[in-house]
Amino acid sequence: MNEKIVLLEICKNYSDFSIKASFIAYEGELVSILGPSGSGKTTILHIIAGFIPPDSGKIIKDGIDITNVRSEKRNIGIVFQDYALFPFLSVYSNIAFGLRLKHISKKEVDVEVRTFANAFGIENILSKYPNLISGGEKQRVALARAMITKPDILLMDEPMSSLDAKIREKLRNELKDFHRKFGITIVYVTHDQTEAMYLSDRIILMNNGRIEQIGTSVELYYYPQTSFAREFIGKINSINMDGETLYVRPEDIKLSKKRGILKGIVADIHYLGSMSEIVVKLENSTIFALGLTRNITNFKAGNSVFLSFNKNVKQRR
Amino acid sequence: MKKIVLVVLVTFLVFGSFVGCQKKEAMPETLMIYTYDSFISYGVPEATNQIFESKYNCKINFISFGDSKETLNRLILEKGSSQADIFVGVNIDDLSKVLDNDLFISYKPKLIDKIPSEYILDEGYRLIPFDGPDSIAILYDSEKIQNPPKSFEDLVKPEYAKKLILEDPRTSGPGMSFLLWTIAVYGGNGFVDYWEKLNPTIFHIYPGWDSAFTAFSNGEAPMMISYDTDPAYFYTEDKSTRYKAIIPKEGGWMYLEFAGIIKGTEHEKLAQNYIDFMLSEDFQKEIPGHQWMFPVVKDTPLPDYFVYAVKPDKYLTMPYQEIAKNYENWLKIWIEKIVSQLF
Amino acid sequence: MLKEAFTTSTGSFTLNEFKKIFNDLYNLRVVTFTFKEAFISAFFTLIVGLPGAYIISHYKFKGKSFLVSLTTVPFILPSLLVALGFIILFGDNGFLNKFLMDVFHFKQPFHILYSFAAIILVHTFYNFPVVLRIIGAAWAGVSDKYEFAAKSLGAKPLEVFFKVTVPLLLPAIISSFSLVFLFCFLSFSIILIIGGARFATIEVSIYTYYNMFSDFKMGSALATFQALFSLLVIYTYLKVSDIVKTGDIEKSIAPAPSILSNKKTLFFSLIYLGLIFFLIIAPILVVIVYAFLDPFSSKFTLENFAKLFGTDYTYLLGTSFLRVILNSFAFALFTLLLSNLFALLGSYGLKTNFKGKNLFVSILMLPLAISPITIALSFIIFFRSPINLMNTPIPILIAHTLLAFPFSLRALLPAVQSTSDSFVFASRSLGYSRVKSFFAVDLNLFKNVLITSSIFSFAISFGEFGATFMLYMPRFTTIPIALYRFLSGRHYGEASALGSIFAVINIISFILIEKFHRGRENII
Repeated sequence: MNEKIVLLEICKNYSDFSIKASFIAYEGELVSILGPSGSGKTTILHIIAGFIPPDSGKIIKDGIDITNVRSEKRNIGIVFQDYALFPFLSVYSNIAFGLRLKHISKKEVDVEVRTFANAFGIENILSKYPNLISGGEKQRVALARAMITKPDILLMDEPMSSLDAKIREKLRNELKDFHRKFGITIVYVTHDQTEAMYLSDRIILMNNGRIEQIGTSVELYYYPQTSFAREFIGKINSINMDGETLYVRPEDIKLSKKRGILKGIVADIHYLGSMSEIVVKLENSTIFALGLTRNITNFKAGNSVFLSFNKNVKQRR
Repeated sequence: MKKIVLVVLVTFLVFGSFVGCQKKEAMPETLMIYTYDSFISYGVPEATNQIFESKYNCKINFISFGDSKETLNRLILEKGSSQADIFVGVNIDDLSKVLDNDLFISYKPKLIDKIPSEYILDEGYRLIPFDGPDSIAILYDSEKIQNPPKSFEDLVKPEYAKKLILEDPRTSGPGMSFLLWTIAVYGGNGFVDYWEKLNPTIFHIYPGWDSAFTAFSNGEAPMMISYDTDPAYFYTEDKSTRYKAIIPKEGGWMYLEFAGIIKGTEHEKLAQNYIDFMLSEDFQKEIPGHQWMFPVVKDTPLPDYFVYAVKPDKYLTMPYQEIAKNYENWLKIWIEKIVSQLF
Repeated sequence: MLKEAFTTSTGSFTLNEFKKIFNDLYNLRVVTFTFKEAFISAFFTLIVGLPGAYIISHYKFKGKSFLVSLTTVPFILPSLLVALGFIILFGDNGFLNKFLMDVFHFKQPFHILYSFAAIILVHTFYNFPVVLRIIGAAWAGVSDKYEFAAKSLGAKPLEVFFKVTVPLLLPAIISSFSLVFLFCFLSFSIILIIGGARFATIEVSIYTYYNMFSDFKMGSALATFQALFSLLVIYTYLKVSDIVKTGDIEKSIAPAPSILSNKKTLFFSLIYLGLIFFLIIAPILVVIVYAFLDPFSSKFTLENFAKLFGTDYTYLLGTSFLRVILNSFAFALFTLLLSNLFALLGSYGLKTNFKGKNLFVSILMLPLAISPITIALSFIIFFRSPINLMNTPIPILIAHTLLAFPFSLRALLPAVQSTSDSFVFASRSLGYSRVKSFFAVDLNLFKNVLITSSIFSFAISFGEFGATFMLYMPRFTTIPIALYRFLSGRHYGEASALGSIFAVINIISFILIEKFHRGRENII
């Protein structure tokens, strides 16, 4: 795979905060930068786009150093948090914005805009203004606007954070389809780990201006390398046994009424649909276990319960 | 929110206090006098009021709404319901307007015989001259002009090119006076020709005496149209005779100021007393040093420094009715022929 | 009630007077010139003010609010003092020409003043703060992501500015442009001083008819024409701004101003600030320097100030000096409150769309388009009967509010209109009453524009002269009237001293107003 974009020892210092990061995004890959708010992920995106100059380090795109290239010459598209559609322009003009700057004939612009509008299913709202269209439509318009200039890379900054859950789920699928269809390299910033795991080929986990871990969703989930990675991605129980600490995912805990290596009392049961979560009180800690709902119907709050772990737990601590 | 309430309260208190001050104890009779602004600021009222107030146990209130014409307009608008009893400072060129509007009542002052009869322009004694005659004059900086123009004809000579500051007759009293002066000299038909010749001499036409004087005293140009008593004024300020004045030999443009009792006054007797007071020596002798005008009453003693004021051999004037009748037209001609050709 | 005041002054004329306006070539020339002068002045003020608006909205630096307040000073100073500053600096015998002639041995002085360009220069100087503040406030509220988006689509810096920034700022640009336009439209004494007699505006003719001829009919006809014309201009602007859609601009997440660190930006900012200093602040400084000089011997003295605070001038001013300052303050504070209140109410009322809205807004702007003389004249007629209110401060207060209101409205309207109701709904859902949520939410949402509105309503009242002078009684003497009186009495030293005190009070008030608004978050 080609290295599409490389961040080499990028540093950016603020009075009370600093960012240090190096990573690679490969051709056609969707890489997420995942982290809590204030971890510096949007700043990194802005450094890639060229809105903010780094204090040191290099940005290399397709093998060319673009650190000192102005943002409008980088050919990197971006979709903002709430899309930043120009409020004073119609949807049509928003999409056409990038092409019109290139002094292409009106007719060609029109053809392109309509092609992209069709591709994104927004051909019927072209004359509307951004304040009159829905959140989902906004995302499609923003994508069309960014894609029409055929950027080498697309940056996305929490594009779904202000949408409701149902639409978010739908748009996630749309985005995945879009990515497959266009095959463009995407750097995607989010604070939502589900979203990141769902969409990404690889995830760059950030905290406090530093990269904690880079890996696929599975690697990050099952092989967290730092305590932050462990805590941030999914739920995990820390259990003290024989003087050592064991980290166990809720789904790796087996419950039994008869036998196990630890004994506790069921404190509560959270039904989540097909799966359910059981809260178990141990002597001096509380742990969460996850199982198929139909397997745990016989447990009730107040029952005593025995716990055991899946075989793989010990190796992975 | 608390802050806002506090601010509102404080403002109300401040406001209340300053509105509240108008409640007065039983006041002595009050004479309300409208006048132009510099009459107050030059200080004649301050120097004379007390004498009158203690003599008649009354109070005098001077109020101004700008220059003479602006204040007069106020009176015209208030016609019939004015709070004022006396108006001080009507100019010759406004006489017609004032008398047509029937704003004043007649009163023949006790000392009327002491005023030379040629200055009593209103035979009905509604408006009485109290100072003058004076004239506007060419004020010049003697360090830069050794050989001042002695006549209107001199003034258009090339040696004075771009050296004269004027005031605009559309917006200024002295500006209007200067225009009338040239008309008095050259006539209603000839003045245009004169102004066309005068054009090269003009440095700039300012909208008022004050801006013109600001420019003059900053050395923008060495001559300006100003007043005959200016050198005396400068002498008292810093004992310098650098600034001199000259009145062209064609004669000075006669300038008088009038006062009258306003129709509808509730203090007619007191107002009459004040008009008499204005002609008394107590008042007349303060005019030169404060008002920078000559006293109208014959033989009023002049301060020493008035030797620096200039007096023309003769005064030019026009019947005020003629001024009123023609001025708008003259000004129009001036605008058409002169303003559009300027520079 | 106010409308009645206008109709009494302008209602009584026949169309003949209007015919007179158009039949006269001179008047036509005056009308054309007034339009041209106002348009070009407003345009240049915009050009000069925009970089300043950018700097104050994007960067923070020491003394920023002081500097910004300083630029508002010309706004309140009498034109004579301002002209004084300009003549001393840029006159044929001014500092600049003396310097050029001494250093470069020029034989002839540069005619900087007394030209059309000089008029534009001085108008820019006067109205600079309008653009600076109104656009600055708007710019501070615009998120930078729009500009980022444009850049990422390949827009070069200039393209970003014209295709994105300008449209985003358009409501504010239109607001400030129309305000400056109106100010220049009514300007006259400064034009005549700095430009010359050939540069007469409609206002000069109005003045001539009112004051030289006491021809109220012709004066009113001209004033009505002037007002109608301005109305047309405002109406056109509003129409234009309607066509250019603005929609909801994201207000909440604008970037906080940063410290000037980029060397290039710093360099240009310094050059710009230097120019501003030279053109705008230096003439004010000249006035302040004059305050410390004996007007005749030009030696340093404190006497001018000593005299002011003594009792020497009680007679001249009609009341004590401290009282004069108090009066000015009281009027200004009251005007600030009333004008903000009415403008907020007006802006909310205008959130809903209705037919003839543009016309209505244009009419609300009218007080700016009518010369203060006309307003005062109609007040005199109106307040004379049936009850004589002329002995109270009420007419002055109403006049000030009337003059300040268009400013507040222009500042607040775009902000109120582009803000969604959800903030207010949110606070009401949290148990705030409409009134309480107004104080807790609305006032904070509009903080920047409220500061602008407050500062201008304060400044307009504080510096108002024309109308006040026609309506005052000696005990209501304000600082501008006192200044006028000193100037008319040739007390130039005292006038400069008072002018300096005036400027200082003004600056302090502005800084306090900003502090007051900025600090308000803490109350909730």
